[in-house]
Amino acid sequence: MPLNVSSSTEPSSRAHLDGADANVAFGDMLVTSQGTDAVAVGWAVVAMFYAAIHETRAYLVAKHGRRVVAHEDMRGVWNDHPEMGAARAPYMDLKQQSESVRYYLNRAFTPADFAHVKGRYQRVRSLLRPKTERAQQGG
Amino acid sequence: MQTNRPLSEPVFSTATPMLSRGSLDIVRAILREIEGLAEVRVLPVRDRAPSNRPKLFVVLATHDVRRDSRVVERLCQLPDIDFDLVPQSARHMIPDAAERIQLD
Repeated sequence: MPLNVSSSTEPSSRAHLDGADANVAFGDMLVTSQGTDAVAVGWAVVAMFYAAIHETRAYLVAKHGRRVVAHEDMRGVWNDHPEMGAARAPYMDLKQQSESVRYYLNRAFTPADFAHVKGRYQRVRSLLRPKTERAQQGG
Repeated sequence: MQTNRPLSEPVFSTATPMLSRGSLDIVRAILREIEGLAEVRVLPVRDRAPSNRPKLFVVLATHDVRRDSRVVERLCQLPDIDFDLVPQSARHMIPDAAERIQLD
């Protein structure tokens, strides 16, 4: 059940955007500095999913005052906010690749794979970030 | 557990439908049209409590993130299922109760 709260202990929409940007920078750094290390590249892939999590949560807080605290809550989000629909597939794609690294111990990711996965994050961002920033400005 | 049925047998018992006909058609189309998939297995709702949705396990024969994106785009057309893309190396992690979807 999603929470609709305005607690000061929860990240703001702006903080979520900063979190997204920080995860992207972290992923880039891993691939740039350790691109031959499969574990490092795998975690760079994971970072792209967490960037997408922050991107979606930033939008939900700014536009709807809705806080999502568990992955399972996202199913309700896609159902309740159809304007986010185009972001669902790239988001789910990122989730799958992240789980491939973390749950299934897939160590086959290359820097080229990372570039593709990062492109999927950028799709989420391009769909949501402008809306988030408009909502932050009261639009 | 039924993991080694002959191909001529029905996909599922009609008494325990796991996927709607429309969903099954989409899954079969994915299997036919997208290369590099070893198989798709489905875990029925009865084995997924507290979830009320069946879960698909798409076993990947090869590592190909672009192919995976196409699979996910198609699976997102199915609103009432969960799914996992499973590398071949992790096939053993799929629950035994998940039944293989046949192509016809």
